[in-house]
Amino acid sequence: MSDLRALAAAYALDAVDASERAALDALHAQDAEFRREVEAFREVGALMAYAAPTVAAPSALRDRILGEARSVRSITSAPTARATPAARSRWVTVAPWLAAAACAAFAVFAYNGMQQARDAMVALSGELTQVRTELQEKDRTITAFMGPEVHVVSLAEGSNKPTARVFWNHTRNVFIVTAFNIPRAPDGKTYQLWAISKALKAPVSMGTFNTDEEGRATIIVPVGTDVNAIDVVELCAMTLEPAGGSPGPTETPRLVGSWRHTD
Amino acid sequence: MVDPVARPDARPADDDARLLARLVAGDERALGSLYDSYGAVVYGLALAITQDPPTAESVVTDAFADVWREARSFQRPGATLFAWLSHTVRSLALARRAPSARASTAQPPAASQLALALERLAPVERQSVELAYFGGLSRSEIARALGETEVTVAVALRSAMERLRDLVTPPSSHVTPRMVANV
Repeated sequence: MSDLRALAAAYALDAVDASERAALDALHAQDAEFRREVEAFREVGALMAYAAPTVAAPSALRDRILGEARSVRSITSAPTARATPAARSRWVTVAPWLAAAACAAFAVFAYNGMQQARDAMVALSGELTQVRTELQEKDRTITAFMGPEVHVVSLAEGSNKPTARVFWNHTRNVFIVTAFNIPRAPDGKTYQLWAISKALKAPVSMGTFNTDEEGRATIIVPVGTDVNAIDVVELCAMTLEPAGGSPGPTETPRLVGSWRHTD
Repeated sequence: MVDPVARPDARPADDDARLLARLVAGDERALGSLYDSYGAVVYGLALAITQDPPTAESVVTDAFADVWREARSFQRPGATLFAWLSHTVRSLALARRAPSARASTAQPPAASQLALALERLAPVERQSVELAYFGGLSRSEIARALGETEVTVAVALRSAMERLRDLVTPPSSHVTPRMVANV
Protein backbone atom coordinates (compact mmCIF):
# COMPACT_ATOMS: atom_id res chain seq x y z
CA MET A 1 0.00 0.00 0.00
CA SER A 2 2.86 2.35 0.81
CA ASP A 3 4.23 1.83 -2.74
CA LEU A 4 0.89 2.89 -4.15
CA ARG A 5 0.92 6.05 -2.08
CA ALA A 6 4.21 6.99 -3.71
CA LEU A 7 2.34 7.13 -6.99
CA ALA A 8 -0.03 9.90 -5.90
CA ALA A 9 1.59 12.45 -8.21
CA ALA A 10 1.64 10.05 -11.17
CA TYR A 11 -2.00 9.17 -10.47
CA ALA A 12 -2.97 12.84 -10.31
CA LEU A 13 -1.36 13.33 -13.74
CA ASP A 14 -3.01 10.18 -15.16
CA ALA A 15 0.49 8.86 -15.71
CA VAL A 16 -0.05 5.42 -14.20
CA ASP A 17 -0.08 2.21 -16.16
CA ALA A 18 -3.23 0.20 -16.74
CA SER A 19 -1.90 -2.60 -14.52
CA GLU A 20 -1.76 -0.36 -11.46
CA ARG A 21 -4.81 1.80 -12.14
CA ALA A 22 -7.39 -0.46 -10.51
CA ALA A 23 -5.44 -0.65 -7.25
CA LEU A 24 -4.96 3.11 -7.23
CA ASP A 25 -8.63 3.71 -8.00
CA ALA A 26 -9.50 1.51 -5.03
CA LEU A 27 -7.06 3.32 -2.76
CA HIS A 28 -8.44 6.65 -3.95
CA ALA A 29 -11.98 5.52 -3.20
CA GLN A 30 -11.14 4.22 0.28
CA ASP A 31 -8.48 6.52 1.65
CA ALA A 32 -9.36 10.14 2.40
CA GLU A 33 -5.75 11.13 3.01
CA PHE A 34 -4.70 9.75 -0.38
CA ARG A 35 -7.63 11.60 -2.00
CA ARG A 36 -6.51 14.86 -0.43
CA GLU A 37 -2.96 14.34 -1.62
CA VAL A 38 -4.10 13.50 -5.15
CA GLU A 39 -6.41 16.52 -5.21
CA ALA A 40 -3.57 18.79 -4.12
CA PHE A 41 -1.36 17.41 -6.88
CA ARG A 42 -4.16 17.85 -9.41
CA GLU A 43 -4.43 21.49 -8.44
CA VAL A 44 -0.71 21.91 -9.06
CA GLY A 45 -0.92 19.87 -12.24
CA ALA A 46 -3.68 22.12 -13.50
CA LEU A 47 -1.21 24.98 -13.51
CA MET A 48 0.70 23.19 -16.24
CA ALA A 49 -1.98 24.51 -18.58
CA TYR A 50 -0.30 27.89 -18.17
CA ALA A 51 2.92 26.41 -19.54
CA ALA A 52 1.29 26.03 -22.93
CA PRO A 53 2.05 28.77 -25.45
CA THR A 54 -0.27 31.72 -25.10
CA VAL A 55 -2.64 31.92 -28.06
CA ALA A 56 -5.76 33.90 -28.76
CA ALA A 57 -8.88 31.78 -28.80
CA PRO A 58 -11.10 32.21 -31.87
CA SER A 59 -13.53 35.07 -31.34
CA ALA A 60 -16.55 32.89 -32.10
CA LEU A 61 -15.61 30.21 -29.59
CA ARG A 62 -17.40 31.87 -26.69
CA ASP A 63 -20.70 32.02 -28.57
CA ARG A 64 -20.26 28.45 -29.73
CA ILE A 65 -19.78 27.26 -26.14
CA LEU A 66 -22.83 29.13 -24.89
CA GLY A 67 -24.86 27.80 -27.80
CA GLU A 68 -23.73 24.27 -27.07
CA ALA A 69 -24.59 24.72 -23.41
CA ARG A 70 -28.17 25.54 -24.31
CA SER A 71 -28.49 22.22 -26.10
CA VAL A 72 -27.12 20.16 -23.21
CA ARG A 73 -28.87 21.90 -20.35
CA SER A 74 -29.58 19.55 -17.51
CA ILE A 75 -33.28 18.90 -17.09
CA THR A 76 -32.95 18.61 -13.35
CA SER A 77 -31.25 21.93 -12.82
CA ALA A 78 -30.59 22.63 -9.20
CA PRO A 79 -32.74 24.91 -7.12
CA THR A 80 -32.48 28.54 -7.99
CA ALA A 81 -32.30 31.25 -5.42
CA ARG A 82 -36.00 31.82 -5.84
CA ALA A 83 -37.38 28.43 -4.96
CA THR A 84 -36.36 24.88 -4.18
CA PRO A 85 -37.65 22.17 -6.56
CA ALA A 86 -40.32 21.17 -4.08
CA ALA A 87 -41.27 24.74 -3.44
CA ARG A 88 -41.22 25.39 -7.16
CA SER A 89 -43.57 22.49 -7.71
CA ARG A 90 -45.96 23.89 -5.16
CA TRP A 91 -45.50 27.27 -6.74
CA VAL A 92 -46.55 25.91 -10.11
CA THR A 93 -49.67 24.48 -8.52
CA VAL A 94 -50.66 27.54 -6.62
CA ALA A 95 -49.44 30.08 -9.12
CA PRO A 96 -52.93 30.90 -10.47
CA TRP A 97 -54.20 31.33 -6.92
CA LEU A 98 -51.32 33.56 -6.06
CA ALA A 99 -51.98 35.57 -9.16
CA ALA A 100 -55.58 35.93 -8.08
CA ALA A 101 -54.45 36.83 -4.61
CA ALA A 102 -52.15 39.39 -6.14
CA CYS A 103 -55.15 40.93 -7.87
CA ALA A 104 -56.96 41.12 -4.58
CA ALA A 105 -53.90 42.54 -2.98
CA PHE A 106 -53.82 45.10 -5.70
CA ALA A 107 -57.18 46.43 -4.59
CA VAL A 108 -56.01 46.68 -1.01
CA PHE A 109 -52.79 48.30 -1.98
CA ALA A 110 -54.72 50.67 -4.19
CA TYR A 111 -56.29 51.98 -1.08
CA ASN A 112 -52.93 52.36 0.65
CA GLY A 113 -50.81 53.23 -2.29
CA MET A 114 -50.84 52.31 -5.96
CA GLN A 115 -47.10 52.18 -6.25
CA GLN A 116 -46.60 49.34 -3.79
CA ALA A 117 -49.22 47.29 -5.59
CA ARG A 118 -47.60 47.92 -8.94
CA ASP A 119 -44.27 46.70 -7.56
CA ALA A 120 -45.92 43.56 -6.25
CA MET A 121 -47.58 42.89 -9.60
CA VAL A 122 -44.33 43.38 -11.46
CA ALA A 123 -42.61 40.93 -9.15
CA LEU A 124 -45.37 38.36 -9.52
CA SER A 125 -45.41 38.85 -13.26
CA GLY A 126 -41.71 38.10 -13.34
CA GLU A 127 -42.18 34.97 -11.27
CA LEU A 128 -45.01 33.79 -13.50
CA THR A 129 -42.92 34.36 -16.59
CA GLN A 130 -40.19 32.22 -15.10
CA VAL A 131 -42.66 29.50 -14.18
CA ARG A 132 -44.07 29.55 -17.73
CA THR A 133 -40.55 29.25 -19.13
CA GLU A 134 -39.76 26.32 -16.87
CA LEU A 135 -43.02 24.61 -17.77
CA GLN A 136 -42.31 25.05 -21.46
CA GLU A 137 -38.87 23.55 -20.94
CA LYS A 138 -40.37 20.59 -19.10
CA ASP A 139 -42.97 20.17 -21.86
CA ARG A 140 -40.17 19.98 -24.40
CA THR A 141 -38.45 17.39 -22.27
CA ILE A 142 -41.58 15.28 -21.90
CA THR A 143 -42.10 15.50 -25.65
CA ALA A 144 -38.57 14.27 -26.15
CA PHE A 145 -39.40 11.13 -24.17
CA MET A 146 -42.34 10.26 -26.40
CA GLY A 147 -43.18 10.02 -30.05
CA PRO A 148 -42.89 7.51 -32.85
CA GLU A 149 -39.21 8.11 -33.35
CA VAL A 150 -38.01 7.26 -29.87
CA HIS A 151 -36.00 4.21 -28.85
CA VAL A 152 -35.10 3.30 -25.31
CA VAL A 153 -32.56 1.13 -23.59
CA SER A 154 -32.65 -0.01 -19.98
CA LEU A 155 -29.15 -0.38 -18.59
CA ALA A 156 -28.55 -2.95 -15.90
CA GLU A 157 -25.71 -4.85 -14.30
CA GLY A 158 -26.22 -8.49 -15.23
CA SER A 159 -29.72 -9.59 -14.28
CA ASN A 160 -30.19 -6.85 -11.71
CA LYS A 161 -32.84 -4.17 -12.03
CA PRO A 162 -31.97 -1.36 -14.43
CA THR A 163 -30.29 1.66 -12.90
CA ALA A 164 -30.33 3.84 -16.00
CA ARG A 165 -32.42 4.38 -19.10
CA VAL A 166 -31.48 6.18 -22.25
CA PHE A 167 -34.10 7.52 -24.65
CA TRP A 168 -33.02 8.22 -28.21
CA ASN A 169 -35.27 10.78 -29.85
CA HIS A 170 -34.41 10.60 -33.54
CA THR A 171 -36.59 13.58 -34.43
CA ARG A 172 -34.89 15.90 -31.99
CA ASN A 173 -31.57 14.09 -32.39
CA VAL A 174 -30.94 13.86 -28.66
CA PHE A 175 -30.36 11.25 -25.98
CA ILE A 176 -32.18 11.68 -22.70
CA VAL A 177 -30.22 9.90 -20.00
CA THR A 178 -31.99 9.06 -16.76
CA ALA A 179 -29.93 7.40 -14.04
CA PHE A 180 -30.82 6.34 -10.53
CA ASN A 181 -28.86 4.60 -7.77
CA ILE A 182 -25.57 5.06 -9.60
CA PRO A 183 -22.90 6.40 -7.23
CA ARG A 184 -21.40 9.70 -8.25
CA ALA A 185 -18.28 9.11 -10.33
CA PRO A 186 -15.04 9.51 -8.33
CA ASP A 187 -12.94 12.64 -8.71
CA GLY A 188 -11.41 12.90 -12.15
CA LYS A 189 -13.81 10.33 -13.57
CA THR A 190 -17.03 10.40 -15.53
CA TYR A 191 -19.55 7.90 -16.78
CA GLN A 192 -19.53 7.33 -20.52
CA LEU A 193 -22.17 5.71 -22.72
CA TRP A 194 -21.35 3.61 -25.76
CA ALA A 195 -23.30 2.62 -28.84
CA ILE A 196 -22.45 -0.94 -29.84
CA SER A 197 -23.17 -2.37 -33.25
CA LYS A 198 -22.32 -5.73 -34.77
CA ALA A 199 -21.30 -3.87 -37.89
CA LEU A 200 -18.58 -1.97 -36.06
CA LYS A 201 -15.32 -3.19 -34.59
CA ALA A 202 -15.41 -0.81 -31.64
CA PRO A 203 -18.05 0.94 -29.53
CA VAL A 204 -18.84 4.55 -30.41
CA SER A 205 -19.09 7.15 -27.68
CA MET A 206 -22.56 8.54 -27.04
CA GLY A 207 -21.40 11.06 -24.47
CA THR A 208 -20.56 11.44 -20.81
CA PHE A 209 -22.58 12.19 -17.73
CA ASN A 210 -22.34 12.10 -13.99
CA THR A 211 -24.83 11.62 -11.20
CA ASP A 212 -25.49 13.85 -8.24
CA GLU A 213 -24.91 13.06 -4.60
CA GLU A 214 -28.14 11.06 -4.56
CA GLY A 215 -26.98 8.93 -7.45
CA ARG A 216 -29.43 10.45 -9.90
CA ALA A 217 -29.15 12.23 -13.22
CA THR A 218 -31.46 13.39 -15.97
CA ILE A 219 -29.48 14.81 -18.83
CA ILE A 220 -30.05 15.68 -22.48
CA VAL A 221 -27.09 14.90 -24.73
CA PRO A 222 -26.97 15.74 -28.45
CA VAL A 223 -26.48 12.71 -30.69
CA GLY A 224 -23.09 12.90 -32.33
CA THR A 225 -22.47 12.39 -36.02
CA ASP A 226 -20.48 9.21 -35.30
CA VAL A 227 -23.51 7.63 -33.68
CA ASN A 228 -25.91 8.86 -36.36
CA ALA A 229 -23.72 7.25 -38.99
CA ILE A 230 -24.35 3.78 -37.58
CA ASP A 231 -27.06 1.88 -39.46
CA VAL A 232 -28.18 -0.40 -36.65
CA VAL A 233 -27.24 -0.01 -33.00
CA GLU A 234 -27.97 -3.13 -30.99
CA LEU A 235 -26.61 -2.38 -27.54
CA CYS A 236 -25.79 0.44 -25.18
CA ALA A 237 -23.15 0.15 -22.46
CA MET A 238 -21.85 2.34 -19.66
CA THR A 239 -18.28 2.50 -18.36
CA LEU A 240 -16.37 4.65 -15.92
CA GLU A 241 -13.74 6.73 -17.71
CA PRO A 242 -11.33 9.57 -17.02
CA ALA A 243 -12.97 13.02 -16.93
CA GLY A 244 -13.82 14.16 -20.41
CA GLY A 245 -14.33 10.62 -21.62
CA SER A 246 -12.19 8.18 -23.56
CA PRO A 247 -11.98 7.41 -27.29
CA GLY A 248 -12.79 3.79 -26.43
CA PRO A 249 -13.92 1.92 -23.30
CA THR A 250 -11.07 1.31 -20.87
CA GLU A 251 -12.94 -1.18 -18.72
CA THR A 252 -15.55 -3.89 -18.92
CA PRO A 253 -18.98 -2.25 -19.14
CA ARG A 254 -20.70 -1.79 -15.80
CA LEU A 255 -24.15 -1.59 -17.33
CA VAL A 256 -25.43 -2.99 -20.59
CA GLY A 257 -28.81 -3.04 -22.31
CA SER A 258 -30.52 -3.65 -25.67
CA TRP A 259 -32.21 -0.89 -27.61
CA ARG A 260 -35.93 -1.24 -28.26
CA HIS A 261 -38.70 0.94 -29.56
CA THR A 262 -40.81 2.74 -26.99
CA ASP A 263 -44.07 1.45 -28.47
CA MET B 1 14.93 29.10 -0.51
CA VAL B 2 13.91 30.48 -3.88
CA ASP B 3 11.31 33.14 -4.24
CA PRO B 4 7.88 31.82 -5.04
CA VAL B 5 6.78 32.32 -8.61
CA ALA B 6 3.46 34.08 -8.70
CA ARG B 7 0.71 31.86 -10.02
CA PRO B 8 -1.17 32.99 -13.09
CA ASP B 9 -4.47 34.69 -12.72
CA ALA B 10 -7.41 32.77 -11.34
CA ARG B 11 -10.55 33.23 -9.31
CA PRO B 12 -10.37 33.32 -5.52
CA ALA B 13 -11.96 30.33 -3.81
CA ASP B 14 -15.09 32.20 -2.70
CA ASP B 15 -15.66 33.44 -6.25
CA ASP B 16 -15.26 29.86 -7.40
CA ALA B 17 -18.00 28.71 -5.04
CA ARG B 18 -20.36 31.46 -6.16
CA LEU B 19 -19.67 30.73 -9.80
CA LEU B 20 -20.30 27.02 -9.26
CA ALA B 21 -23.60 27.81 -7.54
CA ARG B 22 -24.65 29.87 -10.55
CA LEU B 23 -23.63 27.12 -12.94
CA VAL B 24 -25.65 24.61 -10.95
CA ALA B 25 -28.61 27.00 -11.09
CA GLY B 26 -28.35 27.06 -14.87
CA ASP B 27 -27.14 30.63 -15.19
CA GLU B 28 -25.63 30.88 -18.68
CA ARG B 29 -23.86 34.09 -17.76
CA ALA B 30 -21.84 32.08 -15.25
CA LEU B 31 -20.62 29.87 -18.06
CA GLY B 32 -19.66 32.98 -19.98
CA SER B 33 -17.80 34.25 -16.95
CA LEU B 34 -15.96 30.95 -16.61
CA TYR B 35 -14.98 31.19 -20.27
CA ASP B 36 -13.81 34.78 -19.84
CA SER B 37 -11.55 33.68 -16.99
CA TYR B 38 -10.07 30.52 -18.44
CA GLY B 39 -11.12 30.15 -22.07
CA ALA B 40 -7.86 31.42 -23.55
CA VAL B 41 -5.71 29.31 -21.23
CA VAL B 42 -7.52 26.04 -21.86
CA TYR B 43 -7.71 26.75 -25.59
CA GLY B 44 -3.93 27.19 -25.55
CA LEU B 45 -3.64 23.92 -23.67
CA ALA B 46 -5.89 22.10 -26.14
CA LEU B 47 -3.97 23.53 -29.08
CA ALA B 48 -0.61 22.60 -27.54
CA ILE B 49 -1.73 19.00 -27.24
CA THR B 50 -3.74 18.54 -30.44
CA GLN B 51 -1.72 20.86 -32.69
CA ASP B 52 -4.93 21.40 -34.64
CA PRO B 53 -7.12 24.51 -34.17
CA PRO B 54 -10.47 22.90 -35.16
CA THR B 55 -9.83 19.97 -32.83
CA ALA B 56 -8.78 22.35 -30.06
CA GLU B 57 -12.00 24.33 -30.52
CA SER B 58 -14.05 21.17 -30.39
CA VAL B 59 -12.24 20.01 -27.26
CA VAL B 60 -12.77 23.29 -25.45
CA THR B 61 -16.42 23.44 -26.48
CA ASP B 62 -17.07 19.92 -25.23
CA ALA B 63 -15.16 20.53 -22.01
CA PHE B 64 -17.26 23.57 -21.16
CA ALA B 65 -20.37 21.55 -22.06
CA ASP B 66 -19.21 18.86 -19.62
CA VAL B 67 -18.73 21.42 -16.86
CA TRP B 68 -22.13 22.91 -17.59
CA ARG B 69 -23.86 19.54 -17.66
CA GLU B 70 -22.10 18.07 -14.64
CA ALA B 71 -21.75 21.14 -12.41
CA ARG B 72 -24.28 19.72 -10.01
CA SER B 73 -22.07 16.68 -9.46
CA PHE B 74 -18.91 18.69 -8.84
CA GLN B 75 -18.10 18.18 -5.19
CA ARG B 76 -14.37 17.91 -4.70
CA PRO B 77 -13.13 19.44 -1.46
CA GLY B 78 -10.16 21.65 -2.14
CA ALA B 79 -10.60 21.42 -5.89
CA THR B 80 -11.09 24.46 -8.09
CA LEU B 81 -13.23 24.86 -11.16
CA PHE B 82 -10.10 25.61 -13.13
CA ALA B 83 -8.48 22.31 -12.13
CA TRP B 84 -11.64 20.47 -13.17
CA LEU B 85 -11.93 22.34 -16.45
CA SER B 86 -8.27 22.02 -17.41
CA HIS B 87 -8.25 18.32 -16.45
CA THR B 88 -11.24 17.74 -18.72
CA VAL B 89 -9.68 19.72 -21.57
CA ARG B 90 -6.43 17.81 -21.24
CA SER B 91 -8.19 14.42 -21.20
CA LEU B 92 -10.26 15.27 -24.26
CA ALA B 93 -7.30 16.73 -26.12
CA LEU B 94 -5.12 13.70 -25.43
CA ALA B 95 -7.91 11.41 -26.59
CA ARG B 96 -8.60 13.31 -29.81
CA ARG B 97 -5.16 14.32 -31.00
CA ALA B 98 -4.01 12.86 -34.26
CA PRO B 99 -1.11 10.37 -34.28
CA SER B 100 1.10 13.04 -35.84
CA ALA B 101 0.39 15.35 -32.90
CA ARG B 102 1.22 12.55 -30.48
CA ALA B 103 4.85 12.63 -31.56
CA SER B 104 5.20 16.40 -31.50
CA THR B 105 3.45 16.94 -28.17
CA ALA B 106 5.63 14.33 -26.55
CA GLN B 107 8.16 17.13 -26.64
CA PRO B 108 7.67 19.96 -24.20
CA PRO B 109 5.80 22.90 -25.72
CA ALA B 110 7.35 26.30 -25.83
CA ALA B 111 7.07 27.35 -22.25
CA SER B 112 5.58 30.71 -21.46
CA GLN B 113 4.01 31.78 -18.20
CA LEU B 114 5.11 28.88 -16.09
CA ALA B 115 8.58 28.80 -17.60
CA LEU B 116 10.30 30.17 -14.52
CA ALA B 117 8.91 27.48 -12.30
CA LEU B 118 9.61 24.69 -14.74
CA GLU B 119 13.15 25.86 -15.36
CA ARG B 120 13.89 25.51 -11.69
CA LEU B 121 13.13 21.80 -11.76
CA ALA B 122 15.80 19.16 -12.27
CA PRO B 123 15.89 18.01 -15.91
CA VAL B 124 14.43 14.59 -15.17
CA GLU B 125 11.65 16.20 -13.11
CA ARG B 126 10.78 18.69 -15.81
CA GLN B 127 10.89 16.16 -18.62
CA SER B 128 8.82 13.66 -16.66
CA VAL B 129 6.08 16.10 -15.77
CA GLU B 130 5.92 17.57 -19.28
CA LEU B 131 5.80 14.15 -20.93
CA ALA B 132 3.05 13.12 -18.53
CA TYR B 133 0.99 16.28 -18.80
CA PHE B 134 1.34 17.26 -22.45
CA GLY B 135 2.28 13.89 -23.90
CA GLY B 136 -0.18 11.81 -21.89
CA LEU B 137 2.49 9.18 -21.30
CA SER B 138 2.38 6.73 -18.42
CA ARG B 139 5.36 6.44 -16.12
CA SER B 140 6.58 3.28 -17.83
CA GLU B 141 6.41 5.08 -21.18
CA ILE B 142 8.21 8.06 -19.70
CA ALA B 143 10.85 5.74 -18.26
CA ARG B 144 11.45 4.24 -21.69
CA ALA B 145 11.56 7.67 -23.32
CA LEU B 146 14.08 9.01 -20.84
CA GLY B 147 16.08 5.85 -20.29
CA GLU B 148 15.27 5.88 -16.60
CA THR B 149 13.67 3.34 -14.30
CA GLU B 150 9.95 3.53 -13.47
CA VAL B 151 10.82 4.16 -9.84
CA THR B 152 13.00 7.11 -10.83
CA VAL B 153 10.14 8.54 -12.88
CA ALA B 154 7.62 8.08 -10.05
CA VAL B 155 9.97 9.87 -7.67
CA ALA B 156 10.67 12.59 -10.24
CA LEU B 157 6.97 13.20 -10.82
CA ARG B 158 6.29 13.49 -7.13
CA SER B 159 9.28 15.70 -6.55
CA ALA B 160 8.36 17.89 -9.54
CA MET B 161 4.81 18.37 -8.33
CA GLU B 162 5.95 19.20 -4.82
CA ARG B 163 8.53 21.65 -6.09
CA LEU B 164 6.09 23.27 -8.49
CA ARG B 165 3.66 23.67 -5.64
CA ASP B 166 6.37 25.31 -3.55
CA LEU B 167 7.49 27.51 -6.41
CA VAL B 168 4.11 28.81 -7.46
CA THR B 169 2.54 29.31 -4.05
CA PRO B 170 3.86 30.38 -0.69
CA PRO B 171 3.84 27.58 1.93
CA SER B 172 1.03 29.18 3.89
CA SER B 173 -1.37 28.74 1.01
CA HIS B 174 -0.69 25.14 0.11
CA VAL B 175 -4.03 23.88 1.31
CA THR B 176 -6.13 26.39 -0.55
CA PRO B 177 -3.68 28.10 -2.86
CA ARG B 178 -4.75 31.46 -4.07
CA MET B 179 -3.35 32.97 -7.17
CA VAL B 180 -1.81 36.32 -6.62
CA ALA B 181 -0.69 37.87 -9.87
CA ASN B 182 0.32 37.26 -13.42
CA VAL B 183 3.87 36.18 -14.10
